[in-house]
Amino acid sequence: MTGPSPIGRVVSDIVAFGIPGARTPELFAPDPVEWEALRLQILAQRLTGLATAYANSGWLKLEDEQRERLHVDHRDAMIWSIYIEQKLIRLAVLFDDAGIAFGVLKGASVAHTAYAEPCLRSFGDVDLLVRTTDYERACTLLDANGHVRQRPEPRRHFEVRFGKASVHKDPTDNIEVDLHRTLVLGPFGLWIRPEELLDRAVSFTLGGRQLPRLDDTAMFLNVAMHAALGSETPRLVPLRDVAELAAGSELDAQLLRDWCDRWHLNGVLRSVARQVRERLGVHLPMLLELERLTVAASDEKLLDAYSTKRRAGGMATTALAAIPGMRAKAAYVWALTVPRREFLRARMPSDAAYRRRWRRALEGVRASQGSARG
Amino acid sequence: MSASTFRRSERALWRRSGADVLASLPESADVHFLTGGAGALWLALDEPGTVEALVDDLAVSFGVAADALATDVRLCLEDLSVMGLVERES
Repeated sequence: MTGPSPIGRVVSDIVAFGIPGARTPELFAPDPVEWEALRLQILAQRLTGLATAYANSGWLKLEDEQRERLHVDHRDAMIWSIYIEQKLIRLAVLFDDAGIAFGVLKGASVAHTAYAEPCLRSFGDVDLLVRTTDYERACTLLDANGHVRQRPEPRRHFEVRFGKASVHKDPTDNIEVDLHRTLVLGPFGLWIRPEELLDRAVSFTLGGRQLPRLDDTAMFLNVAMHAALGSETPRLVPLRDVAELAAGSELDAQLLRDWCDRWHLNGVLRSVARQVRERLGVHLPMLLELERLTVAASDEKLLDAYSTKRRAGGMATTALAAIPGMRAKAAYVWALTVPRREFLRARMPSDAAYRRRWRRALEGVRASQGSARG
Repeated sequence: MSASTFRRSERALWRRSGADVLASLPESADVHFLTGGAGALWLALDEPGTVEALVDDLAVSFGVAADALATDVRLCLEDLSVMGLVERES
């Protein structure tokens, strides 16, 4: 088994930089070709702040021109972060005036409360969590205030029953607003009770305004779920978020265990803890403890739907496991196999793709019936 | 002016970018780029202070005599106050 490439290693060390329990970095002085490759990774993973701190520490030896390039990249990232925070404050006023309770997820809330300095944590959009009962009203509010929903839902009210979030964008500022009613897609997003997380909201100060966010334990759960389930291969900044909160926050271990038991999350937390250790080289007692969690075989199988089987429609089919009752399951399958025209126009570029979707949904029904019998 | 205490506005949205600072207000279309002495002054405002205290602080940081900085610090505080990024308490 080969280790990571020199670029991969230094990227991991940048992400882990400053976390207690991180391995000792290796000195790296990139040649021009390596620098270009490294810079692309730094930009793609939004690591300019951590990379700047890492370079300042001396572990990354940059030529003057490379250092200046990183400085400009970081400045651009910080300007965008400030624009997003301005947007967040405008949205907070809007939601408060409309009486819609919300919590800021990830991004600004993590940067300002979990990290030593917000400049270490870049972000690209706004993520807000609202109660399911407020979700459609919040969509309408955004629509009435110049935002354009980026993708229609397959059937009316699909998201409040089965979905996770919708993306809204105001063409005048081009900032995406991810409006969530739960934290992730698929069965784990349906099993959790986001309202319980919102009930524990605390606040942080931004631009002189108090904004609601998840408390540290709920924030940890959110970043862990996002890291483990948000993409086929966990992105590095969400893993850093997990390590940052595990290292520096007062988490309610009993509550976390309770959520894990009730919401089938042992496998999610075990997986993310292992990823932090393997990919970032960070050893934290709290995460090592999570690696010892016992996971039901059925939950373990569901995790595959978010990783290896993600592109094969794994989440759409496994979500059936978390939808109670045959009528609801049928409504879910019907919405995905026979969606509205607007949804098709946005999602299905060809008839062949549409037919593939049919096939997958039917396979999902069969798989679900099979597991129910088993 | 010398008896006043200066502090960062609570409304300021800002980030460090190396030795420089980017700062704005929630309703502002502009993000101000505070370089060199202006950036250092902003960071010195971690603790609110009088002009004299800030000048002394920066003089130590830059290794120069306080007199050499006093005028620049006053002017910079004036500019930051006009921008709304810094508030003055008499």
